[in-house]
Amino acid sequence: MMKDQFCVVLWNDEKHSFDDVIKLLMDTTNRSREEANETAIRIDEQGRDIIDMHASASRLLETARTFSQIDLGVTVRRAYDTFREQISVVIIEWILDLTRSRLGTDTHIMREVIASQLLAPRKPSTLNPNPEAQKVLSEVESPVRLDYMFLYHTRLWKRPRLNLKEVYASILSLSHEHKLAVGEFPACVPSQGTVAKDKGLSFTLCQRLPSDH
Amino acid sequence: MSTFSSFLPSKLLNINNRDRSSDPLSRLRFALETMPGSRKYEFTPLTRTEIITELYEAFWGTHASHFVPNPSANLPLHASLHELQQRQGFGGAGKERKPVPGRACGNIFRKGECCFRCRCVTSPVPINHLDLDPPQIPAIARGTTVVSFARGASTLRTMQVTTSASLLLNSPGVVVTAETPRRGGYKSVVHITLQQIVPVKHQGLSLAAYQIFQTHNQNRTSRYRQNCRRPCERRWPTPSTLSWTLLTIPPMNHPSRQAKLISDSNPLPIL
Repeated sequence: MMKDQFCVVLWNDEKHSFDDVIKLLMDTTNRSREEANETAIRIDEQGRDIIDMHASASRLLETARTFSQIDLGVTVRRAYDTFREQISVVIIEWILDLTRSRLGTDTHIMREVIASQLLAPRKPSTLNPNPEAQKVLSEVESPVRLDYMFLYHTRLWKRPRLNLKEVYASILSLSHEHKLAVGEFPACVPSQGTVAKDKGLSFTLCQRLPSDH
Repeated sequence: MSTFSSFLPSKLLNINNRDRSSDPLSRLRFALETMPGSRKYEFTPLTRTEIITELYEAFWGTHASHFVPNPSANLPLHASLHELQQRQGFGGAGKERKPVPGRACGNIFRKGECCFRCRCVTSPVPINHLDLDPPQIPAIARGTTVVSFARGASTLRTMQVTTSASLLLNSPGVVVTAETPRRGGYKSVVHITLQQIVPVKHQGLSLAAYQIFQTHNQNRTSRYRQNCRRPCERRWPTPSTLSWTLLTIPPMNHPSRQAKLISDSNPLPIL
């Protein structure tokens, strides 16, 4: 049986310089300067990166503590969960790729297909629902997949967020009706709690909504 | 830990084709579910490619020919599908798109890219770059290519923008008439003679011009009022005048804010 693994995830922020991060990565994870530099660039581009993985959680906690001492955002997490998150990121990239692709000569049909899927109800899941999310969505009449995506938007990080925003924009660009359908949700998002409103997302949606709504 | 992938020995997770379900969705589900354990939680670029390939195989099944030029070849999608389509010119990808009347242009403006907003328009169609009606409203393509329509024309005209913003603003024939502070930016209205193109880049700042055909105020429709927050207060002097709206978010001391009034005697050449 495979032993449980954990990993340390380092998050991007606007407070620390590249040099700070590179130096700390070299000191704590035995990376060369080039490797540390590559990791720092990945963190800047993606919003986060895995900097260490090990079966010993205590060892990783020690590493994480070193980073948190200078206020860097860091998370120790099960490697399995992190891997699944990485898969989610690839799926988002894939959806974005579809919105940019064409079916034959038609450039819009893929967007319409994705829009119809995102505006459809979510299939029943066997996973345990987040109680807070359930509470919010109980206020939404007939929640669709898009509602869940908005709700969990703040759980994502830089690159997948930007990719999803482009997916939303591609749906909004389809028609007036699509704008109205997508734009209904933001008013329902609570402004506190773990499902906090993402101002960037709201802005993205609001600026694309028709002026008369 | 979940489950399946951590529970099974990795040897068993190296899936043979014969073990896999023939149903594409079940196969995809199985592949994604077992991937963390079989890859020992190491997410590499190769893993990403495998996931993308699985997703596309499940998605298009036997209909890959509708998406890729040569579906018989293996498709390790290191690049994205739309890049592949563009590279191979599939279905006209990568070429200039012909507009479809009544259909959105579909251009998605990215951060830092030119944007524009209607200031005055008389068309009864919704005025929004996402809802352009190409035969009546010109659109600005990405980069330095400007695509424009003359009212009533049936074909697109595409021109390369080569002049700079300062040249535009200092050229005869161009009159900056007003600058109005707006929330999130400011707006200059530039009068420019017919079929002239406004430059796009100036000192690292993206400027965009939006060509809007003028007609008289009385031609406006109720639909226009519905879709435009700020009705135009200007009456344009001649039917051949176009209004160009520059909308950007420049610093307060940007030179383009120092508008100049220049005579209309010597218009810019058509680009």
